[in-house]
Amino acid sequence: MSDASVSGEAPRADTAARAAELLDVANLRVSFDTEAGEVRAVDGVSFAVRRGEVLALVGESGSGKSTIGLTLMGLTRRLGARMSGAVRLEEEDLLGASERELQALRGRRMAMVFQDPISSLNPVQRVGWQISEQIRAHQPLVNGAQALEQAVELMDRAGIADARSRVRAYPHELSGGMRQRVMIAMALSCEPGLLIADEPTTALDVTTQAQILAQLRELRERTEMGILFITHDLGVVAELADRILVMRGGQLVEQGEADAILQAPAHPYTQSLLAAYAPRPVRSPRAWVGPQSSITPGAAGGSHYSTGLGIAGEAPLEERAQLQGRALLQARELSVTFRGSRRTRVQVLDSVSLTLGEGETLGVVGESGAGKTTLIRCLIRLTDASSGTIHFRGQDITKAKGRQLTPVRRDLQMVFQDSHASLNPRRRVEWILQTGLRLREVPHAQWRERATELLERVGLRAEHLERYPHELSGGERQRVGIARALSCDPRALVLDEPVSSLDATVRAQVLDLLVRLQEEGAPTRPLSYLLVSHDLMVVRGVSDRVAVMRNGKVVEVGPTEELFRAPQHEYTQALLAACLKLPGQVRSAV
Amino acid sequence: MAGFLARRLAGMAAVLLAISLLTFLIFQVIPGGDPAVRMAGRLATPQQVQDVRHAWGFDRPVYDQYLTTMEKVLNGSVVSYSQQINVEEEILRSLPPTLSLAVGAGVIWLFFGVLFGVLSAITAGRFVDRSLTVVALVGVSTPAFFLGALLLYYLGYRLELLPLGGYVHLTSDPWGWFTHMLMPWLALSVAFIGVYARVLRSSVLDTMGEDYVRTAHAKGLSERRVLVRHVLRNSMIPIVTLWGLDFAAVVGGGAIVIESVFDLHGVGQYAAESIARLDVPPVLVVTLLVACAVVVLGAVVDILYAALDPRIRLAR
Amino acid sequence: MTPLRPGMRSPPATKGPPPAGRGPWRLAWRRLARSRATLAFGGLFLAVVVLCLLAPVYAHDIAHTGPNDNHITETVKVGGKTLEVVSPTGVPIGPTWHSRFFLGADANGRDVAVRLLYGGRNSLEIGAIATLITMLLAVLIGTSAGYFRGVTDGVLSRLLDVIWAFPPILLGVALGVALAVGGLDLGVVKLHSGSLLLPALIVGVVFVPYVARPLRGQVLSLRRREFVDAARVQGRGHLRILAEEILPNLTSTIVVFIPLMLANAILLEAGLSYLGAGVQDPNPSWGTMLAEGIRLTPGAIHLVLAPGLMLVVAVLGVNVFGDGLRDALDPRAGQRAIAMRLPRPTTAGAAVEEA
Repeated sequence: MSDASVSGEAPRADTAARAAELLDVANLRVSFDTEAGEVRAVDGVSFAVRRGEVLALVGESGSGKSTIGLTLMGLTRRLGARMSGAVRLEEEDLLGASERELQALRGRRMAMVFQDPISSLNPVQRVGWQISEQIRAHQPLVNGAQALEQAVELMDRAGIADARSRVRAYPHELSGGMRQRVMIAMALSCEPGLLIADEPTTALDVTTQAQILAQLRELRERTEMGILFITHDLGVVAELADRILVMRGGQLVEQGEADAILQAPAHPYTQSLLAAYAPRPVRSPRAWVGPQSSITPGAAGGSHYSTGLGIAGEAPLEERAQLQGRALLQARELSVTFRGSRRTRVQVLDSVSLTLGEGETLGVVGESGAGKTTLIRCLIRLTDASSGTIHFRGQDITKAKGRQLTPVRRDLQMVFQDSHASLNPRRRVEWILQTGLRLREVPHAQWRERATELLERVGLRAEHLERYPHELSGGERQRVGIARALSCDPRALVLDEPVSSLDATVRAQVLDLLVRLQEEGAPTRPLSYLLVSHDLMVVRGVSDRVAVMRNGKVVEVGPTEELFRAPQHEYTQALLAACLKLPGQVRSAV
Repeated sequence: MAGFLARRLAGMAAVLLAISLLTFLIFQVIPGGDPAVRMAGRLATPQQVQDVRHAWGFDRPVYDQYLTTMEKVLNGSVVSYSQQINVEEEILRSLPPTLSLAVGAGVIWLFFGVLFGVLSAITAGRFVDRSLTVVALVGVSTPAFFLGALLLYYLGYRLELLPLGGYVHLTSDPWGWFTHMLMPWLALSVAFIGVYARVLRSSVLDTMGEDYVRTAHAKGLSERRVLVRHVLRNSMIPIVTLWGLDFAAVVGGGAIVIESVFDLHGVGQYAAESIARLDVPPVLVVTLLVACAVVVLGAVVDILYAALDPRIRLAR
Repeated sequence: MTPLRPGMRSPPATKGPPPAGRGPWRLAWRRLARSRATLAFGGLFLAVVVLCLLAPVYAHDIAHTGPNDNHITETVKVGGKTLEVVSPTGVPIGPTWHSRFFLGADANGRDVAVRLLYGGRNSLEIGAIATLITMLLAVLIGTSAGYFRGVTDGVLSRLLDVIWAFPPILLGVALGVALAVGGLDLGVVKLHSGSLLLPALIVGVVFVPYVARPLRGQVLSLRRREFVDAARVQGRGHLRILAEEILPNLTSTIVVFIPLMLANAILLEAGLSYLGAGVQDPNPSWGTMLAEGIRLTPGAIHLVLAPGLMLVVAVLGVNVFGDGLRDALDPRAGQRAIAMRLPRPTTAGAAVEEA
């Protein structure tokens, strides 16, 4: 289970080794009493964190990794956790310490950065106040003004521009990355020996994530601090970690040097984790390729800028006519503006032109706020466009309403990002699937049979019909979401971040399912995908063509392979560069 | 802020207009409600009734009557039908007892509501919490006038500890004022204390589950500091706003029942007596006063809310 | 009560798959069945209801008198002594703890126990009808305002504002007195001045904003949920979405509000009757009996205690049951009860995507 690099039981055995060891965890067990009985979250885990190293704790949700972080900080006690084993921070016994002793240690000797920076900062207090509060709690001699001055300095060092004015900001006035920097500044305010970072970059964009990771790396070089980095993301681990612990079901399955584990994982679970992360080979172009490529193969240096001219500007008229037959969904110069506060207008979508062909998969990538979601909501007619047109199978649906939309509604279905919110919590799976069958006017007698068929197509079983959404796992819920979309027998699925809320292994399974469904084809006709994601790797694995969005504009469109091999637009290049890569064998497999 | 105020004022005006119309109409459509008959007296001839009707303008169209009445309300010259006394002066006279009742009871219920709510939350599930929950629920379930009557009977009549109702002016006899107000305050507060304790309890428990409270613990702050500066600071926001609205209702005569049980001669009691006489002008003015208090304090509460929670913008 | 101690989030539990098909209702029922206090107080309220329904039996077979029968000049034998039902000075007899005048008599020599049960029938009936009116109107107004937004929302919300700003007791008393004089004639519907429907209607309307506002807020957030989008993408109409997707998610809130509103309606009816704007004499109700008792204080405290305690017991039963029901159905509903007064920010919303 663990290779026991532990010396916790032998006090003062080897002073030299102990000096290097900052945190020593031996045979830690944590369990909770729940309605379902006792749950063991952590089950006999032993490890050590040395000074000046980054130890990554890797595992999927439910593996107990976050519980370890909270337990080290002494924060699981108030959840009613039962703990046994030994945890030592230098000479302090953390499990045996009283609440008061722990208070003195928390924030001063060990600090923690949490996953979600918006909910982890007090919404009604200024960020400077929140940092200085911690300083004053541990340094009684520092007065308020001095503490605030230190807060400015800390925020400045954490990479917050214009820190002097930003100390007066409230958390909601800062961007996500900025908030996480505040959290880091706060954690570092008393120069702790141990920093526990629990998924600190998961809620952030790729480019912001890269910056935060760079900052942590710099911190490791500069100080003697030991960092326990808790994450589900092996890409991040490869960037940062010296050593890796892999957890599953509350137990350690493997630990060792980072390079060794990433290149030659010994445990099958680690291997499957890594395999799920390996980007699948770039999809080779299939029968139908995007309109731009078929018209201008390799022309103009293979660039596929959508310059606002859209289709009309790129294709000669007669070729456009040919295209109409094969293009399923076409957006021309689509713009959406929302009214913001104080009578400002926010342009969320800025004359976007895109075409989705029959049987094609078009990937749309971009960071949060790029307008991806607005684009698809607009295409599927959930949001009204401010200007521009949408054609579906040659028919203008930009302003279609009510009954006019019925054929479109049947042919164009959507799979949502949050598998939890997209299923009505008060309805059984069977009912959820039947809504689509009713729309297709399937006779009532066949409903159950058809619903079962649908479930089997997405890899579920008839027994799932009776379940409520809360009785399904995340991956199962997303499969039900796909089955519901398929129940109308659509020509195209619009997939809004379909796998972003799923664990790596489940994510791979769902992506495989999507590819398989498309290959099998719908019963009568080819199935197209419009796949929206912030994750380049997801898009890369399944798309024929990729569009890159930024600030409401499509900055580049092209066949997947070309776009990834030779990105034209500088933003695409930056995105690709920020995208983390696994070292060694995984990268070579690309 | 200016835009918010402008929009709020317009909204208030609309609500007040609707309420004045409604009140006026309620008394217009009453079948036996012709005030001229009552004002002219029992032995009046039809001619006398007709004269009264004409003198008071009851023979004019309804909208005309409404407009003239509202004009009088606005310039403070409206007179009651039954005793023909200036209504606004009468209301000014009955304001001190009502304000005494509202302010005193408001302070009491806020203090004890918060105290019990916090106690209940930090001992959640244990004996103290369970006992406080029982007390709060009994309080919420007891009508104020029943409690008032019991207090009057046992503390006032049997034990002769406190005076049996009536109002004494604060300026003339502060101690007398206090002893006279003590029972009304208690009777009015108990139900509110129950509500506030329950609301704050669940609000505190919810806040305790927030991530930022976990962060506060992770910073190494003391339990007391986490509770006061992070948990209470956030969970008090709904309480403060709730208090503003309840206070408004009591100021405007919402405590009619308590006022009449203890014979305080407050605004509410004045309104109740006027209603019994089908005397429209006082009812109209008191109703408008209450509505005014509710909408004005409602706006104040919204501004306060935005001040307490920086995420709220007043623009909406 | 949740088994977890309060504070922080629930632990990252790794639960095994539960048996399939366990819906939210069945889970709530199991939680409810475990809470003995909730069931006990619910039973207490039911007992009061049954007792009141049996009023005619009690009156006929035990007390041998009706709710409005005067016995002002009669005498009654208690423990061998013969006592006057109402003394020459006008003080009525206190509780005899015998079948006749079990809880004493009132100033008119009527049997308090009999009137208490008949009065309870009236109070509970008004409470029930008022609750029904409140819930129907509130669900209608709240869901349409929240779902259709825009102009509909504007108009309906202003309407709620007006009812809200109208002081409930004042509105009730004004309507009550006004209608008590002549009844209400709406052409189609005619209500007599003595009708119990009048106070029920008043109480019902007064409480509409208390329920409609939180429902509106909940619908506003529900319609942003993705399953509503999914239904729209399927081409289902607004009414269908309201009935099939939104309403099932409101039922627990509605169910939670019913006991709360019932308790408040009974209390408000008592207040109105106390002020003479509710149930009209000689019809008994707990409120009118209390009012009469208070008028006669300190002479006959049993006239205050009997209806007062009965009222408290009934309302307490409803309140405790409602509290337990809320915990069982939706542990977070308490927060929503606060939110009914003000729009609350969506704390987490900002963290999610999209500008």
